[in-house]
Amino acid sequence: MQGREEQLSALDKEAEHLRTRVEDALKETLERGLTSGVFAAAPPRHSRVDHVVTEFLDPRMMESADEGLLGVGDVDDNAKFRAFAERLTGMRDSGV
Amino acid sequence: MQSAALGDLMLGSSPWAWRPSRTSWFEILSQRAAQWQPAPELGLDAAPLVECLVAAAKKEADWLHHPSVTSLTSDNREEGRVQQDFQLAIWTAANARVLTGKIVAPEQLWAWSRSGGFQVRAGVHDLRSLGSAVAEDEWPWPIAVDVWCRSIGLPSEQSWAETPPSTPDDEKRLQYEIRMLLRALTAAKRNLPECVAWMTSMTQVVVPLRRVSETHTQSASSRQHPGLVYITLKDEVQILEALTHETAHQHLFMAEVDGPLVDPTDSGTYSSPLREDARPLLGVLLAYHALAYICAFYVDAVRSDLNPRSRFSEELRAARLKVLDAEGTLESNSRALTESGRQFFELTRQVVSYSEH
Repeated sequence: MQGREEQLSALDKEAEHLRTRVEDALKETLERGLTSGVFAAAPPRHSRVDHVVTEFLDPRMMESADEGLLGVGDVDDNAKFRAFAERLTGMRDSGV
Repeated sequence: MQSAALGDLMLGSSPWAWRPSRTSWFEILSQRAAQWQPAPELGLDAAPLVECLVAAAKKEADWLHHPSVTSLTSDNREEGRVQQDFQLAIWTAANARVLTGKIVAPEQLWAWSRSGGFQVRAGVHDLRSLGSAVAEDEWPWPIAVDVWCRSIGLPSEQSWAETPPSTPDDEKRLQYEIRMLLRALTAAKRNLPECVAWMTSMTQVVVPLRRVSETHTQSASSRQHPGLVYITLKDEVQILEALTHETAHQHLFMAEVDGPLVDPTDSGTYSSPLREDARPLLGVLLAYHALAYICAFYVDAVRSDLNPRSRFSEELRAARLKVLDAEGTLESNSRALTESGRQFFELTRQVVSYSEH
């Protein structure tokens, strides 16, 4: 009997642990959506998009804007985008 | 009977399958290649180069529909001629790997390749080696980005080449915009393969334009720069829409090589859904055709895993209203379309029907 109570207690603890993880993940997703995924949450109006783009063009915002639209851009992708963008812009005066 | 030059689109098939024939365009290119005389300063043996170009044009080789052949397609043969002819020779050596011989760079020149290319110092160079370096260059995206207009040898109006970044913030802005473009191309390649195959059948290179307005975007393409489109880079969705828009124009340019789509004697101007000023009927047909494909792009985007879906739906609704507006104008004035123009209109109407369901 005591073994069963221990089992139930362990299950309760595991359930609590899982609930906390889900809540944390949800919170993190929402926070990320509000900071770097602004486009996805914005109403599809040109005026609104223009406003967001203006914000994004502030250099301070650019560093955190790499997740952008379309749901593309994991860590490897972003490193590649950055490397090629730097390479292309650096080609103005010098050769390779 | 439908003109073979317009290509075909089976009712119910994917709109991305419609590719107007390029045969007449290649015939004209072949004639121009046969008459090409490279700038004498380059010290080239022109005959084998011309032979390669003519043979490739007869085979309708994809690599010829590219801004690197601007020497053959531009009417302006004075400005930038040495750089343009240099690029054409290197590009031909890169794609027809049989050329040997020397090429002289009378001054420091640039060999453009898909990832940007490299500087070539003044002096005598081996043509095959330069061609190999261009051919072996790797670029991970389906369309190349030519920030400094080197594929065409002249800085275009409103390009970053014409007015380079002058401050660190300007530089950051350019890099940010390029990253957006690369992200958009990555997303399209992964999620919209049919659309991308249709795009890359005509569009090879993007020249980013400087944004002159926070509220308006611009895009352009020219018959004199095949495979090249100019676009401002505002956000990823706008970038893919602009690529679709300009690629549609490149397809229409092919369709009209065989003959005009609009009666050349028609001097009327008509309202266009994409411009505030009244346009000739060809402008309305260009807009209608581009909007038909923009609708198809948004239909595919809504069905894909891409986000934000709500924006795709909203843009689709807006584009649908515009395409119907243009359709009405063309229907009311179809007397000014040629027979080929009417067939092109009907085929485009089938593309529009893709977004009706």
